[in-house]
Amino acid sequence: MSGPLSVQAPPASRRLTSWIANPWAQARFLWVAVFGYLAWSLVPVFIAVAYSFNAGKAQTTWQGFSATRWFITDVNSVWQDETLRSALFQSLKLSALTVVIAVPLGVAFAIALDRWRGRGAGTSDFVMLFSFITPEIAIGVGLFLMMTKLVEQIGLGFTAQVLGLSMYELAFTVIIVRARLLSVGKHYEEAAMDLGASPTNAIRRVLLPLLSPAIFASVAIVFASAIDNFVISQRLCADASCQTIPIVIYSSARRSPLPSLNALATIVLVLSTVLIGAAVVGYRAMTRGERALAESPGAEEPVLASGG
Amino acid sequence: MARKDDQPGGVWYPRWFWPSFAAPATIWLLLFFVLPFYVVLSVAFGRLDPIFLTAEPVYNPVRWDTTPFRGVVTRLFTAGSIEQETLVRTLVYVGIATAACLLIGYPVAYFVARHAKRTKTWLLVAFIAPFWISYMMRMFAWVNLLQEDGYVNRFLEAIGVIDHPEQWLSGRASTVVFGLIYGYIPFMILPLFGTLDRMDRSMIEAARDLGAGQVKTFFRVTLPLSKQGILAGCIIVALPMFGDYFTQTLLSSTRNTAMFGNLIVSSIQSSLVNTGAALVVVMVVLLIVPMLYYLRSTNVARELAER
Amino acid sequence: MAHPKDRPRPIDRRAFLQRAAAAGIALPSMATILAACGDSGSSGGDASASAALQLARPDNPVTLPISADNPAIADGLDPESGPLKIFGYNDYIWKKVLNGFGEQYGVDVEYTVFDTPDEMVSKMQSNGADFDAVVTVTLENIGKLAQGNLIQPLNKTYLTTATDQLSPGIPDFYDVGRQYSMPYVIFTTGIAWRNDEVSEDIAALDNPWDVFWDPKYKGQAHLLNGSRDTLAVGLLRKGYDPNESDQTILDQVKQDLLAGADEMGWKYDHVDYTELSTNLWQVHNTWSGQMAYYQYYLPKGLDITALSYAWPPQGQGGQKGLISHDLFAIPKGAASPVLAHTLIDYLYDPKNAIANYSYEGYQPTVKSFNEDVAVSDGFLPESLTYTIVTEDMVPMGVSELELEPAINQLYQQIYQEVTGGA
Repeated sequence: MSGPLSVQAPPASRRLTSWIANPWAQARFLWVAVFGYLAWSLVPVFIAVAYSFNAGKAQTTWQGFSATRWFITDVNSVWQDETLRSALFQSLKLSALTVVIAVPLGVAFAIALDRWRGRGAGTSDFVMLFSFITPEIAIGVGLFLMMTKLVEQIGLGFTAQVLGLSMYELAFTVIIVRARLLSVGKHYEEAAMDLGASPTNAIRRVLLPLLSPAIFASVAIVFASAIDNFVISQRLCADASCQTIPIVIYSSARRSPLPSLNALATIVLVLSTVLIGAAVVGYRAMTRGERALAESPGAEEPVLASGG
Repeated sequence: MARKDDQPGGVWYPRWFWPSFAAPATIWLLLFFVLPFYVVLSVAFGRLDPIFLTAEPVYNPVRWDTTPFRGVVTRLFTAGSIEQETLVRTLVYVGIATAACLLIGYPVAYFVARHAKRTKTWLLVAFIAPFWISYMMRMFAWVNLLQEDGYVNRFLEAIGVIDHPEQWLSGRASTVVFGLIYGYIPFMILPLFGTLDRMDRSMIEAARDLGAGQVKTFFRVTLPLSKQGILAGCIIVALPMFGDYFTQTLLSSTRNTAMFGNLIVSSIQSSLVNTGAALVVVMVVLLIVPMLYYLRSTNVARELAER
Repeated sequence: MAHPKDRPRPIDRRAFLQRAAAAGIALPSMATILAACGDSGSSGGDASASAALQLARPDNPVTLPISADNPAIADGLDPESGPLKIFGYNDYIWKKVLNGFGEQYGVDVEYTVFDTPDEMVSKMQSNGADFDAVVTVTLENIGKLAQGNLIQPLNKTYLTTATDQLSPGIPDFYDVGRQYSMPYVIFTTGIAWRNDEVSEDIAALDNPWDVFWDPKYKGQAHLLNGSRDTLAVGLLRKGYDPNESDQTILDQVKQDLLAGADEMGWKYDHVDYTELSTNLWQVHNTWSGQMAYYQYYLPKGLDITALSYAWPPQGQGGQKGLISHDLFAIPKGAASPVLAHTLIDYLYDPKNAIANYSYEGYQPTVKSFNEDVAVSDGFLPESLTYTIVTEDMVPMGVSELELEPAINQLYQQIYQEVTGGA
């Protein structure tokens, strides 16, 4: 690490003492800042998770450890309290359906936006990015009004939530897949088509597998994002049957909730972490070959690159 | 083979090929993004039902009635009206919170981008964690910490900053701004990190070679080069924060900290639906300039691609 | 030819604006399509264009219209298979009683909560048919729900127990003949306070409502939510009618409330019972039923005798207090209307009504209920027997009643300003 310290590395003991003795060096200040920030950012969440294992009902006093009380055994636990249990399943259902719609639509859209040179491309791209940057409450109110005034046959509820949320998550997928598309390039498909494949087959058998890391990543990210969604899901939810976890947390948080609420949040946290972790591991595994190729000495352009 | 499309490389795609890929998503966006906006306009400029006084949407623009909308806009400019009060307050909160996010986030992003070599990945993971940790859970954690008998009070009393427990959750602007900062700072750090990470080291090395000290290099080279990232981060933070209403409700829930989003939501939930729609229109109009600026100047896909 | 690895250039300003414009073009084209769909738009409540809302008053009883396209259900139908979807204030029917109903008729019961009567009205407009029974229709809303075609007339053949057991002293000027509604519980709206923390006797004050503006209780005095209840505090304090429609008076009350909100840090909710354990309030605007309900939420170390209730006429001062009763109604287009009728009838069975009362604390409007029942069967602690509501109290008080739509909206706007949309 380059810095204000001398060029040759002094012995460890000297380094440590001069590290402590010189607190004004920029890098050290930044280390403190960074770890301070991380602690501030993550410790509250750890505390909330910890309290889901509280033996008693309090949220602010530790009353001993109980692994299962608020998850399974207590009558108000996540498993036994209908509101909490149903919220968990609603969240999972909603997120799964959102992924099923948003990811294929988004992948197709991303491919099209990358290749299509027609006039409509720019506009569609624009609208998609606009949906990404619009404040969620505006979208939420718009969907609410549409479902209650224009298409009352759909009305508020689970269907509306799926439709609205899948639109909202589209942009995520498109952005992720497009990023990958940029690094993949067109030459593989072109080679395949030169060798006689139809355009559809080229896409299906050449491009999609190349895109699979990005598709995989979008599935994970859209799922995690949909589970966390609040504004749109709340606006489109009329009764208790479509309440998702964020909605339940929001309505109970200020009313002295039991630690079963923490338990619910912990379950989702673990789920999302596992999902994202799997996505990262999977992504890296899927792109391992390419990274090896890029890093190996003498590797320059892929063999099939067409001329400039 | 005849070229029916202008794809480079001599490959033939039928004209309908790419549009058909784009069609499903485009239809989806039209139906569930563009159309709702139109319904909002139709409700804001619609007429009122005689019994419930709720807005009936009027879809034909020729028949739009702008009187209620103009009323809302007038109230926005009337001193002392709740519309103006919440708007000004929201701008203030968002301004302060965004600035704070920048002041906290920049050093953090800078460090991880420029100095942390071995632990970079782990630090990055720790930074991204808030994105998949539910926002509600993070705020809920603070609601518990800020209770009268919560850990914040206990800690502050222990170190002697306060001498009796404070009510943090009863209508304090500071708590709300704090919550906004906490909630949105990850959105600031990521674009900043992206820009700083990609920054060309040779520029900085050149400055150092020419004799500039660390601080000077930072202010004359690094900071200007990161302007794009700063702007992107500020917009990505400020735009959703403007529409935030749930942070305030969780952490304070009183009249003197109500934000613009609260006004919209409470209007929609009562019979004041057309006012709510009008306020949404106002909000989009207000934010349209930064939104368009963001779209134009930062090609989002490009940023993410280069990470 | 472009290199495959070329990054796309950032678009120039002109192309950008063209795209924005193109996206904007989508809107007017949509407009023409939608305009073709007709202008009236469809909404959840279609009002007969000619009839203005009739405002029921004790001296101006209203017989709600029954229209041909909204008939009551036929006689003699079997109960549906459920689930029965109830819409009401939270925890307003005892779960045990609902489970009993579910077991007896073999149906699931779902309960959806709303927070304020205003929210109930908007949800009824958008999603009324999602519910089978609405449990908290307040007197000020029954008129608009019926005249706005959102609820269906009741078929009394399913309500034999109810008709039989209904206490005769409950007025029906708002729905003469009870065509659309049946009473559920009767209650007063007053002030609860912690006599262990508050030294003065609020009930004995000249104007108990002043307590909400008393700086002594800053941060510790809270109000009920809902536009009518919150404004009623301001109106009653100044001796006005809670159905006041004079704009000057309303403006004055608004200023009072704004000043109070700023000064006193009021919160607005009806979950005062959950706030006992966090010591959130010393004074709370509440309903008489909550008093009995507190028994179940007392934290360790707090006894029920520490809680007192003030209802203005029973104190001094002689102002009128709020007394009212909530109603059952059945939404138009409900999926299980027979079950809904059966539920109403079930809750009028004295056995069930008393059981429900034992937990809810809100008095059922059944004949067999009286003070003795409450006290002798130990449902109400000794210290709270004065909170019992009797029918002879009705003339002593006033109710929040139907307002003209524009005035109602004014109330909601004032409420929004006072609470900041929180």
